[in-house]
Amino acid sequence: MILRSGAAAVAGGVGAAALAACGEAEVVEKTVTVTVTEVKEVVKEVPVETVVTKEVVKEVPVETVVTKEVIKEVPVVEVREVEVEKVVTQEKVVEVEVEKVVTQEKVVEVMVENPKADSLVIGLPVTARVDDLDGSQVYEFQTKIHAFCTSESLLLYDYQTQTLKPRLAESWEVAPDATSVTFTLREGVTWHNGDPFTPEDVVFNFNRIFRDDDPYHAEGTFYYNGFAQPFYGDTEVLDGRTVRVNLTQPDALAAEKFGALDSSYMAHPPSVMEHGNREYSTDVDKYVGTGPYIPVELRPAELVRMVRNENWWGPKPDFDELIFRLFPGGQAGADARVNALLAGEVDVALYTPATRRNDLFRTPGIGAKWFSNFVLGYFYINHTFPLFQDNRVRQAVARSFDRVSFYEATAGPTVLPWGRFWFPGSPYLNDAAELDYDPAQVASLMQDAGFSMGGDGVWANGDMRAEFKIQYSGDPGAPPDRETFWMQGLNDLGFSVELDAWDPAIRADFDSGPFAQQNLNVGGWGVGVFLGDPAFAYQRWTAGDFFALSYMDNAEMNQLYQDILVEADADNRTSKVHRMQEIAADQVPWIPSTVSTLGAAWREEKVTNVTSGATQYSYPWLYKVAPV
Amino acid sequence: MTRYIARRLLSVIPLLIAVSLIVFGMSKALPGDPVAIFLQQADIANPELVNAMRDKYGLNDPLPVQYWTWLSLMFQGDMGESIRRGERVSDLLFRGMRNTFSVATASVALVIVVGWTMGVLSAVVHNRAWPQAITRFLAQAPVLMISIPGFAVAVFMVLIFGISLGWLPTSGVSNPREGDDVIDLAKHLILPTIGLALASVGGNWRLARNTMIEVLREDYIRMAHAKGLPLWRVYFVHGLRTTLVPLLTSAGLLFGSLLTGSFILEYIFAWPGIGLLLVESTVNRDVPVVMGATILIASLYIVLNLAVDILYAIVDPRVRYA
Repeated sequence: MILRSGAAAVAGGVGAAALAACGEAEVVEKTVTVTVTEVKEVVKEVPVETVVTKEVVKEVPVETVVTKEVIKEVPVVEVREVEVEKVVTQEKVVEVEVEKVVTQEKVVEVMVENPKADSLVIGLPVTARVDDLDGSQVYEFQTKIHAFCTSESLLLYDYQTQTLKPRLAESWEVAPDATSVTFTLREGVTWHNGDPFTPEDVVFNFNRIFRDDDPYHAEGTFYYNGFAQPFYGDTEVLDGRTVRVNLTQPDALAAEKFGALDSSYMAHPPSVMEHGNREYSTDVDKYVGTGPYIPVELRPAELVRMVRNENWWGPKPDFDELIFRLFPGGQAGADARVNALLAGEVDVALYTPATRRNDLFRTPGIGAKWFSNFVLGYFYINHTFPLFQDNRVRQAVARSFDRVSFYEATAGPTVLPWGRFWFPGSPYLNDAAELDYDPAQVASLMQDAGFSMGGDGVWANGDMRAEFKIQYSGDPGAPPDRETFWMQGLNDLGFSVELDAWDPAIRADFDSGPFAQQNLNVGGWGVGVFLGDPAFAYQRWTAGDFFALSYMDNAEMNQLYQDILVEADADNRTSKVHRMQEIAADQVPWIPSTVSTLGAAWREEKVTNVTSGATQYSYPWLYKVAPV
Repeated sequence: MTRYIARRLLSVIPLLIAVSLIVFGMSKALPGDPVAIFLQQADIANPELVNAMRDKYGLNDPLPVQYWTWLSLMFQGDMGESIRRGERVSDLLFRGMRNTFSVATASVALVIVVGWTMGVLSAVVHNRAWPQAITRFLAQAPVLMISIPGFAVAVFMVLIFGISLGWLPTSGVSNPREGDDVIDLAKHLILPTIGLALASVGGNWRLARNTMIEVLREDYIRMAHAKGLPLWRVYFVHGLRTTLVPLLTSAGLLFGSLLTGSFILEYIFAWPGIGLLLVESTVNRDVPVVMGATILIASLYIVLNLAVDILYAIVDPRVRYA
């Protein structure tokens, strides 16, 4: 419209000038410019809230009737502007009210006859004690999963972020000289029997766990207290909410060790005194904890049943009842567990085996995941073996294993092929310190070490041939796929390698067994790491027993380990740990092979997801299971 | 008879001591320390703990002392404590034996009901003018049962009746959601029992058939026919009674072998029986459990043999014991 008005005005002016030039009677034309403004209304919808109350009938168990209101916003109409015509000269926006429905669900309680309606059945491989509910004494990884539902530590080591988080303690502080750690306890925490959780309870527990002369220590078996016990002096109550642990020597990791280590779980002192510390019993009253679930039934080799602790300090757990159905260990139990899941007898199966992954992935209504954890699979390498005294040869051997191809072909998601010295996703990981498969570098390293390829296709340096054994535990007639695959790869790259079988029963004999230094060439082993902090893992470098990561004694590595023990600054610690990994990649004290995973599968009709939780094994995922 | 039983029972004691010595010697000769294996599985690096646990279980004592301690406690009814599970060995054995006993009993019942019945029936119709398809089936069906490994059938049945159809439980002894009653146990027993008993049903079917055919050719059966006795009386009173002697022997031995030989089925069905317990304990060098289980199984064999001998005398009056 604006364009059209302007054109009329110009045409009027040109016409008047032409008539004057011709001498005709003057007619005065007056150009009148008319601007026509069209007003177009554009409808824009603006939401106003209308509350619709909807009653939702939900069955709740008789024993645990809980009132809750759920408000859920449901956008019903999408607001969209519509341009009607382009000739609109001016927009006048007229607001039209449309309904945005907010649905308010009011849960109506209905008592149901079956009090187990909201139970979750979890299939677990367990071969150890069914009464292992005291987190400070349980030893088997699988058993920890139900033990950690009932008992708690002061802090939680979050493996996802690799940081400490509050648990029974709200805050903590390590002294600047790293000779003590102070914990401030959470208010309002109670034991399962209703008794308040007090600083005196912490003193009782730390003494029973860490002091050899404590009367309740002698009765117990605290499998994992070895990391912290040498540092423990005593515990004193500072006030009604605060305790201080005094150390015998500085330790920057005191909060992790005493707050979050597997051995630092709290048990109800009067119950320990009454029922004993370690006496086997299926009496559910024996163990009293503070955790989100309370044990109500223990059936050896069959099940552990727990009910929700309504007085727990944390967010309300989703399920009224947890039932851990126990299966045998090994492949037999693993198959039976998967079968039970597929048949609907269990809702969640843990430690799902690699061999059944296709069954799980292909079955509708079944979800499955494999979470990486903190168990590094590796090969020992004997650096005193003549061939391996040159670290370049050790590097070449380590780089000759095509882990990715092997594990993709054999194990799918159930392990993570890994050629590094710390765990994926960790801030401590030095990604550059790696020993990945690299045939070209294998040749280069061997040449640098003075080897040349002989006529028989084997590297040789004078009289020394690149010849060694890969040792494995098991049947001589049935070597593991991994060792066989690697042996073939090594032979293709100019090594002469044989497999050597050892009886699994004597592999722990480090004086004369397969991993005795005089016997070992290269051998598969494996290690669990209890916390995501490298100080715990690298402590094994210096531990000097058969669980040590390496026989190697490296002065710089030893010093770095001592330094990070008292290094409170996070950045400095990280840089020292990065340096440790560089030394490891250079010296090759062991050959990383995999990061283990924990498999979980579940029925989607019962749960929508299973998260790995904050700990490795792990307690919190059980109430992070998302119910349908 | 009473003197015979008493003498047999007394003869058991030196036998059991010999068994215990052999098992103890073998378990100690095996390489590997039970405590180290136990802790190694948990990846625990604590040599002091290893030593303390060895002390607790008496593993640091000289071997004769270890054996004598075990034997003297055994005579007091104390079989010790499992290194791995912490539980009393007697409790572990009781539970394992109860579970195995239930599946072994059900299997023997199946053998008797199906195997013996079909065997006797097929002997009765032998050489009679029944349709050939039926007589052939009665003759060949047991061969098929013996030929197919029971554990393969078990895996197949789990897939069909457990997972696909959902009619029967796939594993375990109870459904934790439904409680612990007889019906629940019966449901859990069906698949393991069929898997465990299949070959034995076939074997006993054939044994019953062949024995009965032989018996029916005996002179005294001919005499019974000649006397004009009704057929059912000839077959099921005179014929069957003699047939039962080898069948009882077979059932007695079968029951003993099922008690110890059910490991594969217990493995497939995650059935917490004595077989699974014994194998796991052996692998883990859990010596107190291995010793206890071996003595228990040896005792059972002896008692079962004795029971079969006594049953002989009842079934066949010609058998007498001096």
